[in-house]
Amino acid sequence: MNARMLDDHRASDAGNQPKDSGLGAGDDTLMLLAGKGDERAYGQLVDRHLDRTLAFAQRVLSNRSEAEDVLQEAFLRVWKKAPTWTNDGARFSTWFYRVVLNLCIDRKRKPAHAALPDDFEFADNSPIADAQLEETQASELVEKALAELPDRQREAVVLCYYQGLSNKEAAEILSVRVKALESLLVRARKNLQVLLDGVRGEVLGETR
Amino acid sequence: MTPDRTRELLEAYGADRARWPHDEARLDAGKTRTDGDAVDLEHARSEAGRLDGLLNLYEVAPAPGSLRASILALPVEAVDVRDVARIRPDMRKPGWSLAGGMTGVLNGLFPKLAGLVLASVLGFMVGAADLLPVHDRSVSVDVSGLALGEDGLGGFDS
Repeated sequence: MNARMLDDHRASDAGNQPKDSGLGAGDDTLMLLAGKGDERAYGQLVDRHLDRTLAFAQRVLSNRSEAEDVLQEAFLRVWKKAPTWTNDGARFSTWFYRVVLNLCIDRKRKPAHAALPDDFEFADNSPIADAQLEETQASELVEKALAELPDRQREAVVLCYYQGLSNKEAAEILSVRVKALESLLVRARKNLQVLLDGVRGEVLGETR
Repeated sequence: MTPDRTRELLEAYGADRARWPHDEARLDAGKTRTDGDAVDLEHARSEAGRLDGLLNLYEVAPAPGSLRASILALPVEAVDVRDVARIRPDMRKPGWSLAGGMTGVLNGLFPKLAGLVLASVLGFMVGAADLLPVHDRSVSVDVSGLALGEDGLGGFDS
């Protein structure tokens, strides 16, 4: 996401207004319409949030197939929630990110997953091997490095860096204070620097 | 903004100020006390930029049309379930209600026995109907609109 996309995203979120809505309605209005059985309004919500939240789920889970399953379940919850939706302060996007995140957390709990503590930091001698670079796409290496992070660090960096959410909204979704969020972000980026240290120069050299 | 805070922002959000908190992104980086501090800050900015460059390589493909289609189909299926639930009470004649109620309870407790019990109750009902005088056969069994549950047995009473 470049800076312009980031600005567009934030502007769209800030006003809770669609970029692409034929109905010209905000998320809350679409939820109220969907609650009355308006499938077109529901379709607008899907169009507006699917790509963004699918990317979020994929980056949290490191698994495309599971991310798609999560999004199906999440949007079914939107439909079920719509009849009782009230705009009680929580924005739809914040609520929906929480739904998706909770479903992702449930998925990650199922297999034996050795969770790392939130304050975990990798030692400097554990970068991903240089030799992998030739065999694997750079995108996959970054995905792999991201997957190595402790869950909360990964969630923080995905919400703030990739999803472009404000620190306040990301903190709200993760149910932490902004200061704690920044601490998670700092640790996440330090760990990513260590993990990607072996490939950094070559990848950047290739893409310049 | 102090140089220390600038460094914190670089370490947390990266080198692109568009990703920083809005209220701080507009502020000046602040003057460093020494040339060494300035060099350190520049190094932090450079490192953050390099990591940003790597992170930007991780792209995710947009949702395929098939996923969108299956998501949009979900409410229709959910409505179908509600419709079936709404229709079912109208189907409940006294005999069906008894049979359905018993089967529903048993299906929850002993799934494999529920079908057997249902068959027994139906047999009893049909037998009882045969015992009634011909002119008083008010008991009728209409299975034309019967909707079975997902497992083909339960759900009469749901």
